[in-house]
Amino acid sequence: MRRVLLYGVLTAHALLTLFPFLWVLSNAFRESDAILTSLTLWPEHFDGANFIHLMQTTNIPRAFWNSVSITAVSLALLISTSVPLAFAIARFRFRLAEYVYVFFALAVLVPAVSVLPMTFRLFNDLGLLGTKYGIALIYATEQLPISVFLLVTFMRAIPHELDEAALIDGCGLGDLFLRVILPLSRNGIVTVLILAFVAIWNDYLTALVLLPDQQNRTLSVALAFAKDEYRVDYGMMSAAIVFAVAPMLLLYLVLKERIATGMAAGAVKG
Amino acid sequence: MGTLRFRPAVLLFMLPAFVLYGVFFLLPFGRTVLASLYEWNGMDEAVFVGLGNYAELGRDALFRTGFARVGLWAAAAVLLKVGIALLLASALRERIAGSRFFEAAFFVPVVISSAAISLLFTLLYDPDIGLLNAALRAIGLGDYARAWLADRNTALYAVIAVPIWHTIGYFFVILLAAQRDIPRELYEAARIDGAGARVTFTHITVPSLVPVLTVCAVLAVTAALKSFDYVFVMTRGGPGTATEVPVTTMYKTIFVNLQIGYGTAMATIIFVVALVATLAIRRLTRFGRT
Amino acid sequence: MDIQQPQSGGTATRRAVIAGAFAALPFAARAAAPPAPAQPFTLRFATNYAGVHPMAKVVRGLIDDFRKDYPAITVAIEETPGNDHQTKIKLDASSDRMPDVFNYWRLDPGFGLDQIARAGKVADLTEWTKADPAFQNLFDDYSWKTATLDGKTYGVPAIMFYVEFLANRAVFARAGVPVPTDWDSLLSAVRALKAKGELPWAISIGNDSQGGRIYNYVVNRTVGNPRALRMHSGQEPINVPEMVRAATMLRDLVVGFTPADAISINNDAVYAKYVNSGRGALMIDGSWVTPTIKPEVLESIDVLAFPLLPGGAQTERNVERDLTSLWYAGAKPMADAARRPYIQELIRRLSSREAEKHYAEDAKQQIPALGVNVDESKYGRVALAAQTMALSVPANKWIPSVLKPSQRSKFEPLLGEFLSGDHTPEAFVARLATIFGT
Repeated sequence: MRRVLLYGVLTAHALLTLFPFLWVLSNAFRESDAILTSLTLWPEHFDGANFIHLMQTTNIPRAFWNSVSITAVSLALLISTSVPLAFAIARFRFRLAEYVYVFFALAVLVPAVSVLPMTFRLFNDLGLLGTKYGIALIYATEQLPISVFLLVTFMRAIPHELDEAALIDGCGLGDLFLRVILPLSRNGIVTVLILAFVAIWNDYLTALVLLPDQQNRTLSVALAFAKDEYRVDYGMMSAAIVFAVAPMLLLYLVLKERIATGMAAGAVKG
Repeated sequence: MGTLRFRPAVLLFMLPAFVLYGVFFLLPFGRTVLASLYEWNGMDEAVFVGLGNYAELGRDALFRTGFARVGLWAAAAVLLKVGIALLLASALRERIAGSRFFEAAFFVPVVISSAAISLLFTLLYDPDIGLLNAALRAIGLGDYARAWLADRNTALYAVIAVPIWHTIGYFFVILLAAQRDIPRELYEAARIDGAGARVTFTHITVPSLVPVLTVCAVLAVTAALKSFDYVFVMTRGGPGTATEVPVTTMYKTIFVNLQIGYGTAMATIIFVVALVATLAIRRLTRFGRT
Repeated sequence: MDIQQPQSGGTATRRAVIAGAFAALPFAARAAAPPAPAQPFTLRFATNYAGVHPMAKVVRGLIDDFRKDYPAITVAIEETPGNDHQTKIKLDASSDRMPDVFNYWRLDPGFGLDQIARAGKVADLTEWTKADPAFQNLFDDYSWKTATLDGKTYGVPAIMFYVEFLANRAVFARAGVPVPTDWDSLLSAVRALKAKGELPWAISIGNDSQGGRIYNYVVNRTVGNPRALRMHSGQEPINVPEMVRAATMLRDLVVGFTPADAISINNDAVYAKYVNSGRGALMIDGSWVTPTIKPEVLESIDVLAFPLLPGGAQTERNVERDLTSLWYAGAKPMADAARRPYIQELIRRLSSREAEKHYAEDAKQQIPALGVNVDESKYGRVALAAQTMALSVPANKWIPSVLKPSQRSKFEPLLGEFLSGDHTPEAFVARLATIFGT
């Protein structure tokens, strides 16, 4: 009985969650007018016109590559800055640790739109506006606070005796970080990567403003060209969403495996 | 706080993040706060007005009511987003048949951008073809069917529901990972002591998760204060000004009205409110822990 | 298709553009095209004619031709979709990096370019456009006036629009209601249509919507366009009996006769939901929407003249018409003598009669250029009828064009509330008075 209830709730939530996604997928094969006049999960017929039209309207492969490479650079930058910082805050005893935490938390409290004019000026002053990867500096910075937040929480859960033991064994700080803490924080790092990936991949406004050159534009910006001032084509828009989401979903499923492996390793040790 | 003795080498671990944060957040943010002391359209000479913009904001009824709306939004976000995510994560703490599927499924909406989600809900709320009204009619509640986003009595709630639905999966992933990091021995011990599911939940799960739940609450509140896309895509602040929130007002002030000084003053106020809310949440949860 | 790689083009459109350029050689010979530049350089062209915008292909073709003729010049295209183009240009202005050439809305306060121009960021084209033979007799005075602010001409007209008032004959026939010809029959028609279960108005009444177009008509008809503009710019009291009368007529005509979701729906969604489905009886909008109406529906659509109002100041059936988009140049790049000739050459090409012919025939846009030999059959019956009507009467100026952005962001929600029936005419006009400080 209890199991039935459990599965009932889980299934209901899964349906509620997946329904709109199926609906977008269905609409990607329908015409805008049909979408706005009837609701269905199964298209009247499978018509690839929206996808073809979208490919002709905007350079999807190039935008896709830009998104992949910019996101990858941003994540590398994020991990290489946030993990060492979290290590310092989580494992060492010093009065400032708590303040460092709060200091970095400030950025969580600021809406990105409000800083955008000044970020634009900064990029202009530094000559970063024409570059492709300059924006990674902003993306990494934006994700820094949340990532540090989460990483510190995860790292604090690692038993403290490990540190002492490692240092007594003659490990340097670098070894402690790379050989002990880093592997044990894998779950946290994967979570941070997933969440940062989603945020960076879906960003529109920052990319629109900081990557003016059409050669550098990202997928979410390229896909926004499915609308103009007076027209929104819902069919093309849905096709655009499918383009944007499909690679993410695949990657997420792959990363889920990594989490599972990390978890299993933890269980063996435990 | 950690246990290892501090040594100068630790600063090296902190340096890269500080540099990045200093140049690409603090600098533009500082200039933004500074700009709030001026009257400036972005081009002409800026005129120093001291706290004049803030004084004017105090008289701005639209901005004030915006905060009342976003307060409701934040409260709903904490209760529902974090609450539902916590329940779902607890249900899936132990691996059961199909848990891989559920884990993946719950996260799906999170990977879709908020602008796309908003567009989707615009159609789901549609009075004629929308799913919501269709469902109400199907279960005999057709009298409650309405134009959800056009009705000033429902528009705000309809908008607030969307980010809740959208990001439950986000908190689910965080809380699931955190729950699985709780030592299994605790649960084993509880079971041996004959504790039921509810007792385990309130006595083991929730207390162990307090730090992570604090983070979640802060994230939910600040996300509500910062949310822009949902309102902008679904209602643009309408009908009338029924769904106008501080960030949309700020956006219009900066980018449409080109009142950069006044707009950045709004940004600063939003920041201060978020800061106070965050500190309050931290204080509350710390209190709860001792 | 990638814009930076002209060799991947070779489409029918581009061939058409090239063919057009040959056909118009006499014109090209008159314009003083500059020789190849001494030094290679990059010219920044910022536009929202991209993606699904009907102008995208034609403009792309013109840019490609320019690139071919001036291989030493790299044209960097900075595309931004739809209204986000405003954000882009405003940010460029605030960082003093205006593009060499860009298209933008009018210099009206509502779009923000007036402030940018007054700050000296937009090139003053007065002397050039007066002297260059390429612009002689190309546009009428009304267009040049729109391109001018404080006596300086900043823009060269690109495309224009007029407001059209349309009726779906099929809906009227279905309800057995005659298509209205004057104010009284219009009022009784919306009531009769509603009584028969039909949708009288296929419009949105949200911000910057079709509802605003009806407001414009009713106010202009009642107090006249010049006075309406003075009232909305704080130069004359707005809380006057005539305005209350206008608001009352507006209420009688619209409130309760729109779709249930009229205040939340986007202008474009109105077409899919209420026009193309054949449900709505009356619609009113800018001429850019005609191509979005389905051919089957278009067949039963008639163009109406918005009626004169009893006791109104306007005695002719004026139609609102104006430029929607113009070409501008950044002040800094234009001041550079090495760049100027090429910026001018690009604008000359973008606004030439040949280009305008393509804007009309291929992109189905209304064009301000005079003396262009357009194959009118390409517009279709409805667009042509609306065009003929619009050009045969004096023009109204769009009332919100005189509003400051901060006023407009208060005015539009208020109008939406009024059109949903939230305010009495008296209360509405009193609130207008607080917005305009009169």
